[in-house]
Amino acid sequence: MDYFASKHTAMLKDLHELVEAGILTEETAQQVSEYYDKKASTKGNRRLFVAFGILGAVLVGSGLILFIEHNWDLFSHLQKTIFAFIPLVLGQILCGTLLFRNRLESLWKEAASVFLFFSVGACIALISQIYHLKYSEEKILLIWMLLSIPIVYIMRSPMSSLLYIAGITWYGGKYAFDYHEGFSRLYWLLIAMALPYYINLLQRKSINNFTSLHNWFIPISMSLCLTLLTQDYDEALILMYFGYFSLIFAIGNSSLFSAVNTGKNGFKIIGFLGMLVILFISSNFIAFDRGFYKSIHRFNFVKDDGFIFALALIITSGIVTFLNHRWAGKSKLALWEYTGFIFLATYVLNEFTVVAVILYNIYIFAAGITFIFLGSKRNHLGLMNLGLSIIAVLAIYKFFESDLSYQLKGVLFMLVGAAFVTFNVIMLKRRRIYENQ
Amino acid sequence: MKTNKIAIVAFVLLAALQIYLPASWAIESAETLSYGKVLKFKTIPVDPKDLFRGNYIALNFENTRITVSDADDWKEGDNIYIVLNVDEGQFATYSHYEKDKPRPDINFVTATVKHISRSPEPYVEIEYPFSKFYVEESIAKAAETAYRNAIAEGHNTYAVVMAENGKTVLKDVYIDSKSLTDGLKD
Repeated sequence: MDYFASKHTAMLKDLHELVEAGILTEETAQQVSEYYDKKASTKGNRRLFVAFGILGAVLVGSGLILFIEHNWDLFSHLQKTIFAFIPLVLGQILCGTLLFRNRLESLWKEAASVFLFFSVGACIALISQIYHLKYSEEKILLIWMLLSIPIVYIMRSPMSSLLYIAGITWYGGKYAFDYHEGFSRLYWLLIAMALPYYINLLQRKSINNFTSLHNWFIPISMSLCLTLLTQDYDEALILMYFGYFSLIFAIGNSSLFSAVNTGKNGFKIIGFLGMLVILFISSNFIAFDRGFYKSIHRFNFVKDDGFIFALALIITSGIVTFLNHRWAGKSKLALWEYTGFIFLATYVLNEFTVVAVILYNIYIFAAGITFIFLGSKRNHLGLMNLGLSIIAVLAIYKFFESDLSYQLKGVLFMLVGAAFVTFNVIMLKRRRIYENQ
Repeated sequence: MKTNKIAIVAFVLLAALQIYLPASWAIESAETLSYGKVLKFKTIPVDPKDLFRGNYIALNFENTRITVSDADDWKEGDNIYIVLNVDEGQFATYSHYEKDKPRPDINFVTATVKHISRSPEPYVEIEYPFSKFYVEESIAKAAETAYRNAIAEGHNTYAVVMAENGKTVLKDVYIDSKSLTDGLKD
């Protein structure tokens, strides 16, 4: 029977059984098999088509932008101006046609939207060059983004949404990383404008590739632009970042992400790693001895905006965590969910005593051990190795801090390596025994 | 379908706005270019690091630091109206500033306040809207070198600006009496 040649072996096995049992005729089984084959191949083609469509639009779009770098002096002002509007009008006609004919499901939608997105930028950049307008790069970017965000909602184009997030991150980064540019909180309004679309994507298509990319783009963008919350953060920066990471971690744990794999949940992973890295930095005794932390913690609680924002972020993360549990009906908090509050407490304690640094070390160690136990209990290799890695990094970090001899450090490294191998072997063995039963 | 109708209306509005904004810049500039009055502004050297940025030459002008009576009257980004003395060769020099827009028959240009200082005496640093001169990429490097050398050697370098009722559009940059871009193309 040639329908066995198909890829859908599991289903085909069932079909074969049904034919043998006389429930289905061989002809029907063949039709069912063909139907699924066709469906799978059109889905694959569709994805490829969308990918190439976007790639084409991005290439044409960036070609346009490159073209601007060339101010063709051969043409008159009028000719150049007309030229600047051609791609824009073309993009509008493409998108408009799809919209008028109610063809937003069309494969061309994504490519047309991306093309329009780029031609808006090309047009305003070209006009400001032709007439030597003095608009700064930030202003051009801002106008471009504001004129493009409606494309995301009207065309329902996830790729345009990603481009928009990239664009506003560039805009925000100009202020976050360059002191000469002054200060602006406008970034937060711009990112807020992208959120309704993103939340809608999460609710409707939580496992779509575009949604997964959003899961990473948004927390990365906000991580880069966090200092745009306040200029007055000085010493409270580390606490502000901690509050932020604990908040996005809490958001990553919310019911919005319940259908999203951990690997595709940027909020959870960035939040977790961010907190871990800050804990590691804070657990350094040498830095404490040298007065690094003493100076870092000499902030004014009332005066510093940074501290207020940090506090607000930590409290919000607490509220989100509380609601997560309420809705999920869980009573027990997972270990990492209250890290924000622990960090806040030790951070204040740090002002007075080195005990805080010892507490950081104990906390990291305890977290590592807990993950190993959790991994072992749930038979989850990833969790167990995460715990092992945390302990290994902590150990190695402490070796470098201490003045142990090289031989002893070498031995300790080997012990860490051996622990990894042993734990994994034990785990795999246990799995095998379990599977054999 | 109702949602589609709303989307179409929104799209038409968006398309109009996407065209309107750059078109209004272009039309306004084109009007000033056709109906404006020629003014020449002498340029002075800039920090060589700041001179060339990608595809435009940053122009610096004389008298951009203006003493004001009270620094608190100003904030960054404010418009400031610069009234000019214009000689028979159409060279413009600073006369005084106004906070309110002067009458159209007066020679003036609109600049922006870039920086405010209170000591030793209150002054504002202004920026003219014609301070970026875009050049074609293929001659950009040569244009930059020619322009910098000309300033260093004490040639008469100036920007030719079209001005109408305070609005301005930069037309060209000259070294002595020759256009910078035309000179390079020859």
